[in-house]
Amino acid sequence: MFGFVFIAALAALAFAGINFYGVKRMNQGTDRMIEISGAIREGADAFIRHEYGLIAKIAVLIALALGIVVSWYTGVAFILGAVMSGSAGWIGMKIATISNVRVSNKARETGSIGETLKVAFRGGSVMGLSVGGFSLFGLALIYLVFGQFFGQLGQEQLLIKANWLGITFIPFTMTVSGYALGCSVIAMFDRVGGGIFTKAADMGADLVGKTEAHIPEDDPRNPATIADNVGDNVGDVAGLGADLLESYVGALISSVVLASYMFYTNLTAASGSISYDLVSHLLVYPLIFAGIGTISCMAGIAFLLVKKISDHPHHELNLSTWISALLTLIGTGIFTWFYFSGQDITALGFRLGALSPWFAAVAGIVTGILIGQLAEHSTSFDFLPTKQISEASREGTALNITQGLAVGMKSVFFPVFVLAGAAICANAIAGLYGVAMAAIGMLSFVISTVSVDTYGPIADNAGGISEMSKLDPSVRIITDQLDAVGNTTAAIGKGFAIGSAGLAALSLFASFLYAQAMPNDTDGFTLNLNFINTMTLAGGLVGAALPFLFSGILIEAVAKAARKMVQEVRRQFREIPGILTGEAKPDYTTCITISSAGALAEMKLPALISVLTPLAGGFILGADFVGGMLIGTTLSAIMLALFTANSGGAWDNAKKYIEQGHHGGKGSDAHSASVVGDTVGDPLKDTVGPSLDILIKIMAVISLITVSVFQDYNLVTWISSLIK
Amino acid sequence: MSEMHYYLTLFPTESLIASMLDPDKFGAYMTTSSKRGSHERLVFIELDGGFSGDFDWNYAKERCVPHRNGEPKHSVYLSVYRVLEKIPFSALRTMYLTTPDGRTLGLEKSAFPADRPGKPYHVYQELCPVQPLVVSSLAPGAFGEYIVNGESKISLPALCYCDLKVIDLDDLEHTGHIGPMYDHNLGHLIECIAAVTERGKVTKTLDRTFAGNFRFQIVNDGFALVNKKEKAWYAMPSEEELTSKYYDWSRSAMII
Repeated sequence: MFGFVFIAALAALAFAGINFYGVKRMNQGTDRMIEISGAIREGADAFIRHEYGLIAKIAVLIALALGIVVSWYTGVAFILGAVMSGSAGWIGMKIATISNVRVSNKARETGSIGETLKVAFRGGSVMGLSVGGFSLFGLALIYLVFGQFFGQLGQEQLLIKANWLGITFIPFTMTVSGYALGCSVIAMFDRVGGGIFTKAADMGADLVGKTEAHIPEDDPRNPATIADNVGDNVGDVAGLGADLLESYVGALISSVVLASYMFYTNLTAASGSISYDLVSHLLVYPLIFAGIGTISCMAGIAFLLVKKISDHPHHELNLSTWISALLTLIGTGIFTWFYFSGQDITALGFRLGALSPWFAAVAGIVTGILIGQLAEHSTSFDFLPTKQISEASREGTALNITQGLAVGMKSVFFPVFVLAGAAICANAIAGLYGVAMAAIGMLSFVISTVSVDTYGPIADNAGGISEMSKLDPSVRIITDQLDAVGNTTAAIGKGFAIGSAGLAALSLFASFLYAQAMPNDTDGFTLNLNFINTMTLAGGLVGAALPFLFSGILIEAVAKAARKMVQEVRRQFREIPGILTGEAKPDYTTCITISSAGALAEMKLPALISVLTPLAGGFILGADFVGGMLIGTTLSAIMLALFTANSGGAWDNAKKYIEQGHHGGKGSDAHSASVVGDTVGDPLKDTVGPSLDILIKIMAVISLITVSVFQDYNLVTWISSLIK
Repeated sequence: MSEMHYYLTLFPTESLIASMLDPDKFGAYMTTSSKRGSHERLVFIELDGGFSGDFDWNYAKERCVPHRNGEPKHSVYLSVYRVLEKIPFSALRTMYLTTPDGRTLGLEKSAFPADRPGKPYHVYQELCPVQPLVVSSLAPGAFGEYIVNGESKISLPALCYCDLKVIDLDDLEHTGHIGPMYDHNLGHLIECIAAVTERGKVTKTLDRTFAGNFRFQIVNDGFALVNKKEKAWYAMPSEEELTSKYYDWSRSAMII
């Protein structure tokens, strides 16, 4: 079975390689196009190099701490996760900065939307396939090396063991948790760093270039325009890829950890014990499920790349995604039936027979689609909520902001309602393991969703290059059409990331409670979290407040970097008088440096908060406090993530609706108000929202890894023992 | 040595300027000049100089010479008051519209179009020498004649104006790009329309000081210049023509 997973992962990476070089071989166009895309590429490369250099130092420190306090294999797995996540982000960013100019040139050479879409999607698929391939390859390596070679998947190792500090855990759960944590920490840095970079540049370019100097979007006379395009690559591509890779791995490992603890805590149960054979199936099942999803997505991507493409990009991208999803459903359904047939599954709470985990996964897929559709309803100008924001803009900025807040807040309820329904449904079908499978199901065709999501920023960048290179307006019309589709798909992708985080967090939380089991807890273990307990309630309160602190720090970080950018762009217009007449060239490099320095300086604190808060809470106030804190953080972070993503998206599209010639169109007072709304929403939707789902999982995994330490060693217990 | 140009600026201020800059550079210099830090729209016309004794052409020739470092002279003001009325329309050449970020579009002089009947009201932005926003029952040609013929108390010796796009006031959603024109005093606009369509007034002032909100995107058919003897017309290109031929300017003017 591992062979299949390896083959699927390597096939995905090989396909990514083929598409990478396929795109790279294409013509880059005119000298001007090459010059501009070169500047974007150099800026993105320089930022990623600095960012990864900083992350590497922090990652080594965390790995060492894990290696010493928990186990050496947790530390090694952490590094492996970090390398896999970093590799996917780096390759995605590379291909995005290679594809952008070729997309622009394809539009220039062919004048065909379909042919241009193919290049953008081929570039996006490299990111998608890298996310799927690297995450699965790393996990397969973990299974092979630690599970098989070091025997952690053996019956005698699936037990709670104590390390040299007396800390107890099941070894394999610590290994996969370390791997997931490595992915999560990289994702946090990529998302936060990229988010700060891109929004600082974007706001600087808009607030001075567009609003004060009246320069149109992507005009080469704007000093921040290259930094803005660099930001699309480091934030919307590398950040997004690392984010969804982390979500994917988080969902996969949550089921593995859960199954391990369910097995151990029922070892000697008089009734309903889980056999080793069954738990072996449960441990490998998610990987094969993901492998089938990988192969299915490759088929969906290949289908789009070989077929004759129409001039309807939304339809073509949807078709590719639906093919991937359908093949995944069929393939995993058949596999599940054969895999669990004949197994005694009563102890797991599988209520729909052998297909129970598959049905739970289907519930997850349906939930993901519903959340995505609800996100589209809240953020697309084809629907009333966003149109209402556009309309309110006619009465001024304050009402644009007020209406956007209302839309964002209202948009939280139904996705959460759907998510709650999915959790109940998945649990009813296949118990807590079913909840984990629902998260996996939601992300089972992540390769396709990331491919489509990455295509958007590539098309956006291609539009910028076309504009700056003074290509024929017809080229810009093509890239604008492709970009518009990308905006919708991005909102749907965020829905999947947030939804899966909610479900994965629930199963990780169950694992957190299971991980408090003692070596003698083999005769059933009651998952118990008492919210009447003052510690738990206090933890819940603090946890619920944490995402607000985290979001505030992120917004402040963007504002600080954006202010510096605004000052720099103003300085350049003031001190280099020939910029607007085209007689002098702006200093693009300084703007890139400002965004880069701002991101690198500001990204450490939010990332450290996510890692250190559960540790501080646990070592001071104990496991009950952390349990409450995880629930509090998960609940408020999901609400806040949906609110920020949807309100920001709605403000953005409300502005676009006006820019299409509604409510006075460009230059109207309504437009001015909508520009302010969009600027307010920018850091919400592109920095805060996407970081919150990572916050949830980092805290859950850190707590899971360390709970066995701080449930015994914490300040409150120590003081209590002194008093006694 | 650079050629000398004479420019009649009509908007935002009226003046006659000699310059060694060609129209594109002159427009960019006037709108984005670094020292002022302001970004204005500019409407100006290139003139054939030396046409009458009202202006000191010799002064222009003496002063409008390259700087010591060889840079061309940007501007020598010959007059800043009551200029338009002293210019024979035969001296008018191309009209230029410069956006706040310095992009310039040239409009060629053409025959004044015959007024087309049928529209119950028109909205005009007067640009020079005064700048009110006016609703009128008169078509463009008749409106210009009405203002300069001296029969009314509201009369001028010469006028530059343009007719503006009129939208369906029952559908304020699908407006197109019209800028801030209809954001202000919509109720008063409706009253003004009623005054000219129902109560027989010929013109009704909608706004005495609307010039700061004037946008090129709302210009409908074109720009007109009238005095008691002559008329001149500069047609605005269609949106399709602007997109295909003058893409940069159109984006800058927020027409596309």
